[in-house]
Formats: sequence, C-alpha cells, structure tokens
Amino acid sequence: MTFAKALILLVGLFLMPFFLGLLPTKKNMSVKITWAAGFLLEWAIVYVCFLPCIIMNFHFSVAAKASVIGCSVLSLIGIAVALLEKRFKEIFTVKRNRLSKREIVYLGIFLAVVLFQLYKTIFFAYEDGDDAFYVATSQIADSSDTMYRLDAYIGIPVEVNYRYALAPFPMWVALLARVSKVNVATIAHSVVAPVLILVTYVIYAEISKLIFENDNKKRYLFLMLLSVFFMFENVSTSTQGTFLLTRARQGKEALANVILPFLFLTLFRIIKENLEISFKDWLLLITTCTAAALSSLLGNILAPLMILALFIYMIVKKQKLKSLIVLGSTVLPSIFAVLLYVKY
Amino acid sequence: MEFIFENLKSFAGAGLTLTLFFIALVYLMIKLPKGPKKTALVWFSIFSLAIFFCPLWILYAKFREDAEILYRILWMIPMGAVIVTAMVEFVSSLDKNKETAAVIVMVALIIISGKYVYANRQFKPAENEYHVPQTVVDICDEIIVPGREIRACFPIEMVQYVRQYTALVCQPYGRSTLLYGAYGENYSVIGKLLEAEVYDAKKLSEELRAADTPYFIVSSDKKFTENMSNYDYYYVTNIDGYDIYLDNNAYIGIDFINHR
Repeated sequence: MTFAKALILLVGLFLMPFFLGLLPTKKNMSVKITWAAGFLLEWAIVYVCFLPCIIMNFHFSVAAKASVIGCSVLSLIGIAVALLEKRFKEIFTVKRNRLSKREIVYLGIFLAVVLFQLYKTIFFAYEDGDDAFYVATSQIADSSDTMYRLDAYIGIPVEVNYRYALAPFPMWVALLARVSKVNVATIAHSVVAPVLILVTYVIYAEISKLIFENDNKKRYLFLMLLSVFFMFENVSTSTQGTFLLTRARQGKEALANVILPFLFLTLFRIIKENLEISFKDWLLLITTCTAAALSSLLGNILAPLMILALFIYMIVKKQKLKSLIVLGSTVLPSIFAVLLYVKY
Repeated sequence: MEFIFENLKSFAGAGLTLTLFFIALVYLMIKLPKGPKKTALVWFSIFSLAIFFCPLWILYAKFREDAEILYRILWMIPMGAVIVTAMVEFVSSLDKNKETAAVIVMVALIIISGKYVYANRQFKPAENEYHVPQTVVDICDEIIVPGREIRACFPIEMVQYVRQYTALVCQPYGRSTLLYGAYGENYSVIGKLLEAEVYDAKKLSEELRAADTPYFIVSSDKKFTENMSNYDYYYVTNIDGYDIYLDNNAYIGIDFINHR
C-alpha cells in the first residue's frame, strides 16, 4: 500500500468521520465518540446516495461520486458548526488525570487485549462463507461499475435481489476501495475490520462513562473485562462478540456492534439528561436509523424497537406529546426502508 | 413457541454465557437503585427479552423463511455490558484487599463460561493482505486477461475465495451451487461432476464448454478417465500443485502465446 493510498484511507476512516461526527454530536462529547458518530453519518450519506442509484440501475461511480461529495460537504458543515460552537478549543485541550496503580493495570490490560485482537484480525484470516457474497458484491461494484446486477458467486447477470440490495453496506466497502484504489479484499479484511473493532470499543468506553461516571477504576475494569468477554463469547456463531472478532467487515456486524450499541448509548444518555431530546439528539437518532438501514434489513426493525423502548418509557414518565412526536419521527427512515422492501 | 427456543438455543450455543447474563440481570435488579442506570441496563434488557419471546413471532415464522435469524433481536441487549457491569459492581462491593482475587475470579468465570474465539479452526494465519489463499491469488493473476472477464472452474475448496480477490474471474459454479444447487443445469452439473473420485474428462469438458468456461483448474493429484487434451483442454501450467487447463477452442481476446 503506497503512502497516498494510506493517506486516503486515513482521511476516509479517521478524519472525515470525525468532521462528520461534529454535526450530530454535542459540544461536551469526546473526540472519540464524535469520531464513532461520524461513521453513522457517513453510512447514512452512503445509504441516501446509493439506494436510488441501485434501484434506478445507475453506475456505481455515480453513487460513489455523490457519496464523496455528500461526505465532503457535510464534513465542511461539521467543521463550520464546530467553529461556531467553539468546540475545537475544548477538543484540543488535553485533560490529564493522574491514574492510580490499579487504574493503570486495568487500562493497560484492556489496551493489550484490544491490540491482541487487532493483531489477530489483521494477521489471521477467518474463513467465513458469507464473505464469498459480501466481499464479492463489493468487488463487482468496484470493477464492473454495476450494483447487484451480477451474481456475486459466479458473475452471471441476475435480477436484483432486494433483500440484499436494500441494505447496501458492501457498497461502502467498495467506495473505500474505489477512492483509495486498494483491492476490495484488502479493504474488507485488513482495513475495515480492525477499524470497526476500534469503533466498537470507543462506543463501549462511552457507555462505561454513563454507567460509572467519573470512577475511572470501575470504567477501566469494565473495559478490561468486556474485552476479555468478547474473546470468550464464541459460544455460538450468533453472539455479538463472535461477530465482532470474526466478521467485522459485514453489515450485520456493524449493526450488532456499532449501530445498536451506539443507539443504546444515545438512549441511555437521553434518559440521563431527563428525557430532553435536543435537535442534535434527534439528528443523531435519525442518522442511526438510516445507518441501520444500510447495514442490514433487520436494522429497520431493531433500531425502531429500541427507540420504542424509550417511547414507552417517556409515556410512563408522562412526557409531552411534542417530545413523543419528535422521538417518533426518528424512525421515519426505517419505515421508509421497510415500505421499499415491501414494494420490491 | 418452539422455534423461539430453538433460536435462543442457537444463540446460547454450548457455553454458559446466557446463564451468566441472567444471573447478572437478577443481580443488577437487586443491587442497583432506581435510576437511569437501572432503566438502561435492567429494564431495557427485560423489554428486549419480552420482544424476543413475543408469541407474535409465531405468525412471522409462518409466512417467512428467515425466522431462524430471530436470535438477532437479542443484539439489542448489550449483553457484555450487562454481565461486566454486574461483575464490576460485585467486585466493588467487596473489601479492597479482596479486589485482586475477585477480579481474577471474574476473568476465570468469563473464560470458563465461554469459548475462546481464536481457538476456532476457521482462523488461519493470513497468507496475504487479501485474506485469500495465496494459491488462489497466483492462479487468478495467471489467468486474468486485462480489460475483460474470464470464466474459470476452480476446485471446490477455492470457489469461495476467487471472486473476493477479483471479480474479473467468473465461475461456472459457486458457493450457492454447493449450498442449494442454484443456477440451473449447466452451472450446477459441474459442481456435481467435481465431487467424483475420478473425473469424467468427456462429460466435464462438455459441461465446461456449455458453461463458457475456458479455464479449468484442478489439483495435480486428481485422476481423469482420459486425458483432458483429448477434448481440447490443454495443460498450461502448474501453480502450487494445481494444474491449469485451457480450452483450445476458446477465444480469450488476445493471442494467448504472446500473452504468456
């Protein structure tokens, strides 16, 4: 991988998500969670740009260009918003906490375990049959410039299977490959997989802040145990931990380990903030539902179900009808995606 | 309701992780005071479990074939976070001098109740950055014709990797043929023919040609009823113990000799 390619990937997977994340996150949110939120917005943009192109049989390049333009414009808006909110000053202010010996041990073990998992993800290949479909689907889009019109396994022309085409997560992988000019298989297995694992841990680190607040010892112990737990959650092929460490390049994995945990985090935070849904919360929730639609068809059911939990809680807590309507409106992308699925 | 429990079983698998989760849930329900933390970790988990066990899914299963993925509803619960929070709360409730021992016990509990993901045989050292066997990469690089697609028949053990590496190589049969016999006659027959102990050269060459497949890749140890060249499939080269044959009648878009 040349320097230029690495630089493009660095921008696409670190810088751009961070700038995008500045839009739906609040001023007091950390750099790390802003970066993680940016992935959701990046996926939402990719969904909005790719879906009509897939349905109308446009070339992959058209949707790819639209996505790059969309991400770039929204990144600039994100920067502008952050400047207006004077966020950068806070972001770049380094907060130094003196860690106790025990905190250093817990944090050290956690980081070592995560490094070990990244090493295993990059240098070990996990033979998963579904990659023959998902990675090949990205590969076809990049090399033939068509989307879902060729059979992933053998390459003959086929009718669009909307079960897969309406959740075009592989197109995001193909987009990264196209802009960086790196082989799709490399992007999927050696680039996207470790990055998504990092995103997952960032989200759980933020969840730990909500659970244990400023008690760093408890937080680091939580993260340490969680990282070990994921490695030993391989009791079946269906658990979140197994998906995280074996399939962190597929839409289903992104749903299980990025989108739904992020949604949990957002809902948890809203509960903590006395059920007040600000415009940014609304934006974050609607972005999450759109990202869920990109990742998997089931995302259109699971994300709204989680929001329904908050909806019921707000009714129990006798919140105003306006707040309920605001919350209810965040599942519109999911309803739209389900209707599309029914139509096709 | 039976299929709901089957889903739960397929999710829980062989370990005790789910048992650990239920214990953690009960512990947190007792231990945590009323508040956002309890709402998010305990009541939300119970809400998600109630959705998972909802009898209405029986109706769904009647009309849909994908009811076996119902277990994914459980993804709404941050199961790891619930279990680990309970562990942290438990450790914190003990005397400080017992903390190290308690943490070791908790880690042991996770290890005993679960299964180590990297012990899985499907993990192998990656041979390259593509995570595709190097032999597949070398063969594909050998047969790829710049600017066009080419169809090649690979051995069964390689079919799932070929199009991950490059979409310029098409196949006469693929993973779906192996899984559920898709694509109709020509495409499925080849997959079947390759299951034989001794390959029927005549039939194989006929079917390959019918599926527009000029390249045939086969392990050098494989035996044929006759020489493939009797049917115009000529040996080209050997890569890592795999012979590559090319249909002499096929036009692959360039002068093959010059290409090589």
